[in-house]
Amino acid sequence: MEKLRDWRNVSLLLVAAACSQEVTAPGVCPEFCPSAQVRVLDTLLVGNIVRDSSFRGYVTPHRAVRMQLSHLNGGPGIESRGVLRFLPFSDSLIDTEGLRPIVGTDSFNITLVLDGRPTNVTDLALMVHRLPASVDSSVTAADVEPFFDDSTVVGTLSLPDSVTDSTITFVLPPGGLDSLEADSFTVALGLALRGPAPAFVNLGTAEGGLGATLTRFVKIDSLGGELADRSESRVVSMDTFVIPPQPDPVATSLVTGGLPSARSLLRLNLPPAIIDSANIVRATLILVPTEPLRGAPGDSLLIFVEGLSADFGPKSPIIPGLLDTAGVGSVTVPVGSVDTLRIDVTRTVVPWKSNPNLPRSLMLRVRPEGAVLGELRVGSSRSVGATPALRVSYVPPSKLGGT
Amino acid sequence: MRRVLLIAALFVGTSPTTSLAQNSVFGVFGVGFPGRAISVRSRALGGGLAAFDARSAENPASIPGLLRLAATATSGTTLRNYTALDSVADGLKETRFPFGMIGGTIQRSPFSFAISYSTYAERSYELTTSDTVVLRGQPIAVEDRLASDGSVVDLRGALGLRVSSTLRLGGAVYVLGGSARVTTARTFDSRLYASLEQRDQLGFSGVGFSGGFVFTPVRRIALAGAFRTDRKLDATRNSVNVGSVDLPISVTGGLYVAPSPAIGWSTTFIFRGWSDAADDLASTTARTFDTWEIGSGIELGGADLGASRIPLRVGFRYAKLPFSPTSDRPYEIGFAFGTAIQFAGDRATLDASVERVTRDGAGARENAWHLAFGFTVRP
Repeated sequence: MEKLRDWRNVSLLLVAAACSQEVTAPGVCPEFCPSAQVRVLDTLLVGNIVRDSSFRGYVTPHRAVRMQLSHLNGGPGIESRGVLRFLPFSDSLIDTEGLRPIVGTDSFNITLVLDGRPTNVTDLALMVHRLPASVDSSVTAADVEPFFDDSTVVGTLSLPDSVTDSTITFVLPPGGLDSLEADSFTVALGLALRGPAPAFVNLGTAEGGLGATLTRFVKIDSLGGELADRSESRVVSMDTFVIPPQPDPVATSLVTGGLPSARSLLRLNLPPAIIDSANIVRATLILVPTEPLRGAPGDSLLIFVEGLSADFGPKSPIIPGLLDTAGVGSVTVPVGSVDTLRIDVTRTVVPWKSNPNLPRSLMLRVRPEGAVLGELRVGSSRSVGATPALRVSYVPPSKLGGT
Repeated sequence: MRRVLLIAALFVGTSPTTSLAQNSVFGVFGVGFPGRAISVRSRALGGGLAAFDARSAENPASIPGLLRLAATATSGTTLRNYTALDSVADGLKETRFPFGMIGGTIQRSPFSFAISYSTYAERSYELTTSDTVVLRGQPIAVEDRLASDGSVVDLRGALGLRVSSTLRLGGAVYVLGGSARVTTARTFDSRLYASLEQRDQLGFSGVGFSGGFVFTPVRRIALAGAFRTDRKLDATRNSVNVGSVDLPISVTGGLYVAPSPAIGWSTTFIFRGWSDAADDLASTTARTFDTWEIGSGIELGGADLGASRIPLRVGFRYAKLPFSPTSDRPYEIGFAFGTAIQFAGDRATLDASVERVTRDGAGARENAWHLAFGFTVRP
């Protein structure tokens, strides 16, 4: 038994001696460092973006999570108008005594959700026009243009200057919305922004859970011949916004954003020495606009560059990028800008080395899609003098000392 | 059978895939920091006994000194600090298993055998540096980590022959192997840059041969000599051949004097022609030099001398180091002290040594305490 204890003690001594270490030390380079050093190289890859193209029709305006109304006031840009159609009202209401006929309308309230506006333009107002109840999601700017006339104005909604994103309710006089019976009690309204300077507003939509609501205050014929006050509300059955036809882009341009929204697909043919052997530490996509960024005056466009989990062309599934305060993976471009875009795509490109199954493709799209007027038009691989490029900072494989 | 299994378990259990020795600020150059294929007993004697010690691997002719089957495993813990130029590193600590051996006599023959592993060159280090680099025209703070974990391992199969009572001969074959996991990492003080971590697996292979003698012309005086040559050390990175390094020849000489039965004084001198590797390492930051070292120690008493149960050992060692970042050749001085204790019916021995080491040269000075334990069983 004593021998066994001796052996055990010796074993414990050896194990205890082997159990910890601290070998990290400050390096004194280059004198007391191995010859393996981290060396960052920087190169501009031009002509490595191939088979790029644009596709339109991802999100139509009536499916967008918000609508954007703009007012040019004679300036450049894209002017848009909103179209709302509410669920039909009824000709009677249920009272405690049963279904009672509506005998008169006092007024209407319209509730809108303001989801952004420029703060440097004041005294903005929304002009509300009566539209035919037959409008639907296929409506165009030309279809509704005749109805945006002074004679069709049913109300003017002044937007408080202090409010940039909030729910606001306005009273509409009843006169402009009479004769609902002729439209089967369906109300369709057009919204046009007006103000002393070019501006825009974003309004919530039903698709974003922030659609408009129209409330009718009525009188019903109660039992005993008395009139009683009642109200009923209707949400929108369709909301959209329309713009006039826009000039076609240059044939070789890549188009992103706009209405309906467009995306651009860029495929990269990167040198194996960089994408497979080296470690990319930063990658920047460089895009050259072929014309000033189109959009609502004073607005800016949030453009994302995202990777794909598979390349099926226009229907490729996207690996969603995250909005980063450092601007990684996205860029915000003011309307009217012609500056070259530099979008950091490091997070998208770096995984390509470790996961060769990921397609080496990038998709450009705006956020939110179909909800903003902004449209980016940049040069493609077929453009002359405006071809996209990728700037890559990478670390080549280290040469190891002695080997 | 159980004894054989016990020895095998001890041998295998203490021989990791990358058996490592103490590290050094000078260990980042060349093929690494040279290891010492010696027992704890020899280490306590400053390496002076290495040419004669049957439980060391410097001279295959020493193997007939193993009078019976024995297995030895060692562990070493290093506590060190250094200054290199204007940088100071403190509190560094490593524990390794740098050497192990099993051997004995071949019954009814004058031959003895030994199989051992040792560290040929230690390649473990982890260095961190901070710097500011200009990338795309902007200064960016970076932090780099250069790490290597592994070693070149020396596996030896040796055969010794007791020619006569005064002469022993020996020969050995060495298989060099081992690997190192090398990590190169950089983090940027900017969210625009992705962190980098490159991991590579280095593999090493080579062969070597040695021969030696131990001659005892008169009682209490012995002379020893050995010669070793190695072929090139081939290196692969992630299984792809990346080159080879010519390894040095080694010439070992030793003198042992026992003025009395209880006192043994031993000295060993080793020359290594590391300059053979200079051409192959020319592309690195290292300059390569031939090295020599001399170690000498005195052992008082102990079972190995047959005088007492507990010996006292002291030793001194001076060695030149093979790799330097400048033309200044670094050197190493060590003072060692050790003892041993036997137990389990004298079938097991625990050797211990403490060594104070100073390395100096090329703008760096390193001080270390090296604590070593050796466990030997003789079933």
